[in-house]
Amino acid sequence: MKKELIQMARCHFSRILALMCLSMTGMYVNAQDANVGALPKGTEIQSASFLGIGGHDVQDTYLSPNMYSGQALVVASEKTTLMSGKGRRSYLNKWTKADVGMLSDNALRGAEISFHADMLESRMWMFYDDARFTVLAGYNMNFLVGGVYNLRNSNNPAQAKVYAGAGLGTMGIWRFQYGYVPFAVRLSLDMPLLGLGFSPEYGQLYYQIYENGLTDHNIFLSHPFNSDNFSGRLMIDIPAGNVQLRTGVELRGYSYKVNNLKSHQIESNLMLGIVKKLEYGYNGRNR
Amino acid sequence: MKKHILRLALMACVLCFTQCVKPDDTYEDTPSGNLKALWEIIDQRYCFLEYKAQEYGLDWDGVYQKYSRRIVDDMSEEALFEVLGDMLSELRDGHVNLYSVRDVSRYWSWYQDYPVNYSEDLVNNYLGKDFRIASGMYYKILDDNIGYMRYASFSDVISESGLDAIFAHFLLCNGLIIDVRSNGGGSLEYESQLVSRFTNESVLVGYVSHKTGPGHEQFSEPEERMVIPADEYYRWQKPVVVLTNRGCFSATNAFVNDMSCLPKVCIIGDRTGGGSGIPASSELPNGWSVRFSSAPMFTKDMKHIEFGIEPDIKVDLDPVMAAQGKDSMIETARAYLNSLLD
Repeated sequence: MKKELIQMARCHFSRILALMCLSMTGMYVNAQDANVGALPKGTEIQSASFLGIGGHDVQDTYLSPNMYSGQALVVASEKTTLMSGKGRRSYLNKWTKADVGMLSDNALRGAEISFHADMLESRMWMFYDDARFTVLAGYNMNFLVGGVYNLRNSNNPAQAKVYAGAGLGTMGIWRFQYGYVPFAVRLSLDMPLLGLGFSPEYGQLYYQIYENGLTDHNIFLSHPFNSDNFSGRLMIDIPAGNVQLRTGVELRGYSYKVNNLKSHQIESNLMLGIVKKLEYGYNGRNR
Repeated sequence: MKKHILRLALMACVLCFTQCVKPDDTYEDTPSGNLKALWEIIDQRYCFLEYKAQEYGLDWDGVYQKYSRRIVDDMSEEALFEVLGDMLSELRDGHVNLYSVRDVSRYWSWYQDYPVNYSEDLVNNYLGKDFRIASGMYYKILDDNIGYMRYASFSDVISESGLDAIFAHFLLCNGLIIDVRSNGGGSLEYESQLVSRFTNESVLVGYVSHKTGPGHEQFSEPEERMVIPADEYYRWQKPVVVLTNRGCFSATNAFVNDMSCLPKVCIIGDRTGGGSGIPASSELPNGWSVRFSSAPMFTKDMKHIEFGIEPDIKVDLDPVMAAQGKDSMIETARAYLNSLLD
């Protein structure tokens, strides 16, 4: 147990270090803020819609000790709004996603359906910006609702997933040209650290929750020593005629160990989207 | 400089996507792996191990030793299923099953080792052809003005309007017989819905608990099970007899327990079959599904009812009366209810 805690602490420390590294890449180069014309607060910087397919791995010991894997359909949208144009610029980035996956166990005899609605709101400040690089970092709020439904189980057929929490996030943008074609690569990393989650007790049935209400153990404090929550997106913007395409991968993980139960979900989603609005770049250079 | 930035960014990615909460190790999909998985599921999640150790000396560690000897690496799925099914039958629990594509292992001795005490032919002699059906219940007023309702499964949907129709039909009856013999259970929701028609006030009928961890004695504080009167609907105010046999299991066992806590209710027949653990499910590495008792229910005196409930008046089906087309258990119930009129 102690060894496990030390491992988790080390792991989360690495994560935080990673976020700091990425944030500091900008500051390390040259801490300067872009001096472009002040845009009004609330200006929508960009907006994009995505469709994706993903591979999901789920293990929820409330339902089954088996690991379930399968494909999922994903829809998502991303919207960035300017929150403050004066001093150090700040932005609100909303990543909203819904997914549904059909999963099976290794023996291909069991089936589970996983479904989630996931919203990540990141408030980030610009730490570096020039013609090629933009680096932002800040905090985020994460709201997740969903569940896993086992198609065979009797009185424990489903496990609900509910989480609300806050953490740290960062985003880096690298702009480059290949020939005359401009590209932009975006890397977003978010790690909700503290929050509240829901879990039934070890042998508690939803029938009992329905009949007798929640117990003291059904709402748990989620922290780095009992849960693991991260989201990362690596996307590239590709101009295609008059349309701006955005494609890349999203890695999403949400795991926790509470009430002697372990829930583990890892998603890797391949996303393709269209940038609907790109009136201003982060540096106001219209890209 | 750019290289430094890229290196840092790359390092950040690698670090960020390192998993902190690792998934549990899964068992190997081999005969011994499946046996171990099944044994551990029961060891950690089954709710009656301690109780059954006291009742009949169940030694779950010994069970593993006993059945692991029957496992060989190249055994067929059929042979493995037989071993695992035999291992589960040590629990003597009708709520415990192993499901494969080909078969379902079960323990049915809770009723097969005892007199049936129910005959559909005899019941049909009382129902005749002009009985009514509502909410899954067959019902009729018998010649001596006693209402008779037969409920064969708590999986049959009960509606409030259906129950109102039944009680309206029985409005002028002197008593009521609820025949739940050989009712193997179903929904606890329907069970409490039906019981709520027989009380005018909230009554404590028992407790329910659940496991809080893998230890054999890790249980939550028992939560009260209350019967709340169905205030907005017809409620029965006259004497009631509940007819029981060994086929009364699970939700029906809970129904008999709950009814026995109410005034004007008499349980007549044979001991019920039991089954007081609310079942849950899990799975083996080979994809077989296992059902097991997960949350124990107790009487209002915190006694286990896993092995059934004794009736107030013990009656078996009399073969002599049966030969005459009469159900001795129904006749006893009628005589009891009519005796209350004197």
